[in-house]
Amino acid sequence: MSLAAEQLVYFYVPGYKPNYIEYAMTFYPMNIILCLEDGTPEDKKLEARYVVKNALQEFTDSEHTLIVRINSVHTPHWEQDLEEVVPQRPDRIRLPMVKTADDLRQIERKVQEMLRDLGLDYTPSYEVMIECCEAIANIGDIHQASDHIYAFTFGGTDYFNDCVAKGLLDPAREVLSAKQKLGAYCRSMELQCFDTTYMAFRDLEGFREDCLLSREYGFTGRSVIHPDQVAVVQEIYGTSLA
Amino acid sequence: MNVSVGSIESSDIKIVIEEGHPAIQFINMVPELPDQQVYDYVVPLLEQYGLAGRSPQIWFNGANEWVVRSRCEALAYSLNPVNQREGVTG
Repeated sequence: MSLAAEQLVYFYVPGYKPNYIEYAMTFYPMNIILCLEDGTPEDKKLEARYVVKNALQEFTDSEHTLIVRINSVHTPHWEQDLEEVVPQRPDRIRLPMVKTADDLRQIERKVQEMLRDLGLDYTPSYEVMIECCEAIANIGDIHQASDHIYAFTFGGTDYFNDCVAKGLLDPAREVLSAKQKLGAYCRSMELQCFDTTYMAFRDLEGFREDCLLSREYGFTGRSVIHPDQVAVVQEIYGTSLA
Repeated sequence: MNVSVGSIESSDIKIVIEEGHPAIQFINMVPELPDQQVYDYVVPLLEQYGLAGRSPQIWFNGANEWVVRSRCEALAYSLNPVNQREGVTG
C-alpha cells in the first residue's frame, strides 16, 4: 500500500514568514501546518496571526490541507489566535500542550461561542498534541472530551523537557515509552497518530530509522520541517507493516 | 509610539512608524520594478488601513498583496490604543 503525502506528511511552516508559506504552497499537495506556536518567536506572535489569517484567505483554493497550530491554552495567545483563524475555516486546528480533558473542552467552548456569534456553519476538527507526562496519563479522558479529534500527535521536544523538569532519570527513554503508549492507544482506537518532528534534517538515515520505529509503535504519519524529509515519510508510513 | 512590522526578507515588506517622522519614506528593494509602480501598489493598501497618513517608512521587497495586507492589519491593530495587550516589534 502506498499513500500520498497528503495523508502522511505534515509540513511545518513558521507563521510569521510569508516567504516560507508561499514556498510551501508550491509543493505537491500535502498537509501544511501554519505554526503560530513554537515556529514563531514571542515578539512575532501578533504579526504571525495576521500573516496566517491572510494566508488562509489567499490560499483557500489550494490543493493543500491547511492546518493552523495555535498557541497553547496555557499561554495568553490562544484565544486571539482562534479569533483570527476560525473565521477563515482552516481544514484543521492543531492544539499544542493539551494536558487534560478540561484544556480541550475550554478550547472547544471558545470555538463554539465564536461560531455561534459569527453564525458560521463550520465544524473544525482538531489534531491534539500530547507533549507532557500528564497528557499521556490522561489520554483516555482527553479522547473522550471531544467528538472532533482528527488525530493525536506527539511533541517530542516538549515531552523531553517536561521529563527533565520533573527530574526523571532518563528523559530520552521516557520519550520512547510515551511514544509507545500513544501509538498503542491510537492503534487500539483506530485513530490517526502523527509523530514528532526530527530536527536533524540533514541526517536522513537517522530519520529513516526513527520513522521505522515510529511506524512500529503505531504512528501513521509524521510532522516534518524540511522538504528532504517528505519522501522518507511517504516511503515509511505509506507502506503498511507486513 | 514607534511600531515596526514585517521584514526586509524577499517577498516581504517592512513598515515602520516612528513618532515625529515627517513624511512617508519608500525604499524599493526590487530593482526590476519601477519605484512609482511599487508606490502605486502599496500606498492604496496603506490608505485602506488608515496608515498612509502616519508617515510610514517602508522597505518593499516583493511582497504580494496578501502579505502587505497582513502587515497592515498587524500594524493597525497595534496602533489602536484599545489593543495594547501585545506589542509589535520589527
